Amino acid sequence: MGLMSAGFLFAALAAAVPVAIHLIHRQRYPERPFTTLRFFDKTIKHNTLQTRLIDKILLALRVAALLLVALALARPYGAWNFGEQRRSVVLVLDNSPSMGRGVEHEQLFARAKTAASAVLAELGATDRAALVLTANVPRRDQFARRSEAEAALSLREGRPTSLWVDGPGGRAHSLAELTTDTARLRLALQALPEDTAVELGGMEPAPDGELSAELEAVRERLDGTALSALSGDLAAALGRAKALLAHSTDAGRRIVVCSDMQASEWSAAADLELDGFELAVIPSVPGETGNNLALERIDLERAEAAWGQSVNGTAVVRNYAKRASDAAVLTVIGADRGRPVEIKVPPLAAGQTMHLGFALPVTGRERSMLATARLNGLSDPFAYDDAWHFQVGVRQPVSALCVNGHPAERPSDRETFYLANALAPRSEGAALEAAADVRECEAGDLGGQQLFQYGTIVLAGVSRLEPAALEKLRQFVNDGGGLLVFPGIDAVPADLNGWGLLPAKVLDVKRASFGYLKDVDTRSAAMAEVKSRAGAELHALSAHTRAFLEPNANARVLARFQDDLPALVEGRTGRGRVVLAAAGCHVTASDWPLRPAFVILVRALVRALGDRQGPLPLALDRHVGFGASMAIPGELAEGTPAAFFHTHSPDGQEQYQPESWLRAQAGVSLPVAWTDGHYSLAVRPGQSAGVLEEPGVGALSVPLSFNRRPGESNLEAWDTKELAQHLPNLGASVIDPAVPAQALASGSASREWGRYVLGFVLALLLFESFLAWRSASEAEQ
Amino acid sequence: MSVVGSRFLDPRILAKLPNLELVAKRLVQGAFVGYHKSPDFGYSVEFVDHRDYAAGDDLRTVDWRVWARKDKYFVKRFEMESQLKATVILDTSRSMAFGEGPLTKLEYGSYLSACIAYLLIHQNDMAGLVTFDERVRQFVPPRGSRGHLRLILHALGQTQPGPATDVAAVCHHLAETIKTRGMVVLVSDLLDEPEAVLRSLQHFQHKKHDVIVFHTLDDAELELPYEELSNFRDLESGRRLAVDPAVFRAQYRGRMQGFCEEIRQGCLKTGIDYHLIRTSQPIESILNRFVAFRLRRSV
Repeated sequence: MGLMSAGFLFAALAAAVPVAIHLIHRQRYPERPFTTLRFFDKTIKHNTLQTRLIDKILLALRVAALLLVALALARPYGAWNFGEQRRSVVLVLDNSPSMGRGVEHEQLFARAKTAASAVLAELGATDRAALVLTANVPRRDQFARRSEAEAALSLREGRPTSLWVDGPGGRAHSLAELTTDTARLRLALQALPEDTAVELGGMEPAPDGELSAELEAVRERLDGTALSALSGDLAAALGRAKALLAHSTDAGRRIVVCSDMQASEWSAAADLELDGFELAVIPSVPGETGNNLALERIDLERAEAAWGQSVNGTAVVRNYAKRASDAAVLTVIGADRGRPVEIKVPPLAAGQTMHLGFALPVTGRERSMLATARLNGLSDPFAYDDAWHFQVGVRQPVSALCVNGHPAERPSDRETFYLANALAPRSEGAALEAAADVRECEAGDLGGQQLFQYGTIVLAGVSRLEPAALEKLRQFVNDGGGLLVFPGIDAVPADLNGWGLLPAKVLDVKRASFGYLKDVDTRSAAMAEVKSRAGAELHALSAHTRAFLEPNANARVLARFQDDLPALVEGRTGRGRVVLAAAGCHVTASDWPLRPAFVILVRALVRALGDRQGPLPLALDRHVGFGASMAIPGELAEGTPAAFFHTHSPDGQEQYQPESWLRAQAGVSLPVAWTDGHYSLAVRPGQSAGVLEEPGVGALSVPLSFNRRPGESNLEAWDTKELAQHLPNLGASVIDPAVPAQALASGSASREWGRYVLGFVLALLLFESFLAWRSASEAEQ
Repeated sequence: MSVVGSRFLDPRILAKLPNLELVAKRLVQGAFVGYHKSPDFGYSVEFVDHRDYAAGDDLRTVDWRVWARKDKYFVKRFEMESQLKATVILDTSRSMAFGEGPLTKLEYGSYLSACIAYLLIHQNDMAGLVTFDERVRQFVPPRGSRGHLRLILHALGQTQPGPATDVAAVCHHLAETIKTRGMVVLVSDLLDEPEAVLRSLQHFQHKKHDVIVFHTLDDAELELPYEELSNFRDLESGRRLAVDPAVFRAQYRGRMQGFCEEIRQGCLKTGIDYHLIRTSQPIESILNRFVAFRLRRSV
């Protein structure tokens, strides 16, 4: 019970006006001496007393009318509300991330919950209530076949949907961002093989409770509500609240919204009609928001870099506050004992965006380096958008062994001279980084080498090998090693063919017309890199002494000369790969070593052959509220424990926190990542029971980085006037947050009061008119 | 009837005249110039019998011829002939002090009483005066001398409004007090219970008096002409009553007319000469009525 606009009670002072008029008027009656009052006594005296009584009644009624008008203006609520037998109230609680701001050591969301609780406390035993949350919850549907996903997509027509395709190459087909472009999604699906497992993601409203008279249960649900990491959809929440009230037949039906009045959320409700239901808004507005810097995103120049090198990145920082920001520091640090990079962020004007470049050293022994960029050094009440989590692929150095087939006194006469220079430049201040950890040996010493410590072995001009060396070489390739062969000018085809390792049969090695490299097969990642980096220089690779090759059945020609003869042939032996070149790597056999494209070619081939890490694991930019999945080999699909590990904590310390996980088909999935940070999805082969407590050695793991969804940083709270200006159709009344129970003072109750007061005043006017008419009639008589 | 000099009889003009005797003289002369040949009327004495002389008797009434014959003193007794004893009873209660015109009812009644006394004395009748409110305040016995007229006029000039009125009680008292039958002229607003007033007037008749009642009222009393809501204050009781005259005028008039009619009917039934007079009326018309009444009674 209370008054919404208690200030209007001062209007009750107007009740003194008729009293004053009455007193003044009474004193102004002229006194008239008269002979006798005996002729008034019997009738007139009675009438005078009646008149005086009527005057008193009229005075009381006039005073009462003015008091009622003042009371109606003060908009009473609570027990003042009469005429309403039972009320239905839908509490719409804004649990979007913007409610996570802290004001005076209290979170806005906590304030909103307190206000909602106060409203619940005002409800009576017969009233009913329901709770509706504005933030959506994610929805993920996994499909084993593409056609099933296409059918499901038809049902999602028009709703924001994302497409995730797991596994190698899946990144190219995935549409990580939610989109309503169904045609684009359908085209992406149609490009996939039929048996591809895909996931369709999206957001849907959180399940709402029904209107219930068990207010305690509603209160418990309210207490258990947590702040969401997903954007709010206030319009949808209001629509659901309206639907709930539409099924109610109670007299007083109203929606009470506890929100921070963010324009980005409320503006979506511009076209919403509430069908006459009353809307009260309890704002949790922090007033001056202070600093509100947001780290919008991190753009990396390249997705991976060699170990020890640096990757260039750009941090996009924007000031969303309505005033200039304070100076801050952007700290970028690798999650795995990296050296932090600190960049000063100067004060930014309101609305200004700044791109800050940084070079992050790539370290760590994993395939991916987890990194976090964070804005520090300023007081930002909305810290939710101050961090960004990302990954950098780490290209571990390839160890290469160059085997010289022509021993010589002068280094430049060695077959490996140009090769080693191309892979690891020896000159001071070389602009090129080392592509590999290169070592050299003579062909005769190959048998004594421990080949397992190398990634790639390059045979330069080697024609004849010792049987023991050959056997070790075969074992090396079968175990997954890479072998690159450049035949020498005096190579004997029979010897080469006798190894049994080469992907092509060497028909002859002879001096012939110059052969120029015409084209390369870009389906090979290495050759695609060569073509993209070398460009037209690729055609400058010519050789006058060539090996004429006949590729094996399962071999692939990576490059051809202008006369279509194979220049590079790749084949697989065991788990390793072998590439055979048709030209030598010394200037005595060809001019390849003299061309810049040779450096690019050799580096790419050595790296591709020696890289045993495989492609970068799937690391799409993922947003909180969604999950992630990884495909696992068939032999691990049954009985293998799997887990997600949250490896990020707000204080920057690593921690392994098991999360819920889900096995589906031949994969495991994280259903929902509720907070931003780094996660690690891991399965451990060979274990059929127990709980996987940490990834550990031997586990197959995929690092994942989750970031907030954009859109919550733009904090612009509407005030009462702006709310009425932008959303006139809602007819919302904004409640004083200090007295949240006023939300139950509905407009209809006020109108009800207004109607009663109006009726009272009209009755009073009728009464006075009747008295005036009666007086006039008596005067005429 | 001649009305020469009637302009002087207008109450508005009378109100400006300071001397009551002068007012009465002008009024009477103005009203009756040419009505009689001489204003002096003669009187005669008829012998009735003798009675023994008693000490203090006027020696002029001793019959000396009887003394001469019988050597005893006898006094001759005479019957007074055609000399009227009239007593004017003037109500001086506070209600008589009311008047919305140039004269209050008391002033008007005083003029009227003075005129009647003047007229009677100059007709060689005797005139007396009684003023009363709730009791008798002044009593001037009827006499016929010119000096007595001045006494009456002086008494009238000293009259002040008294408190409440009690017409019936005073009239009953006077009926018992005035031994000699004669004429009783009552000038009053009679604001008392009509039945009691009528009974007291009948008491005069019972004592063989000729009674003439001048029911003196102000126009405002009869018409209640006021418009605005007022606090009416009773002049006698002091009570106040807020009345909207516009609302209650009709009822008031009806009640006032009923009151006057009741008095008139009561007087008519008992042979009392009743005249309702307004203070706005010229006094000459009232004097005409009185003279007519006097003549009727003389026949």
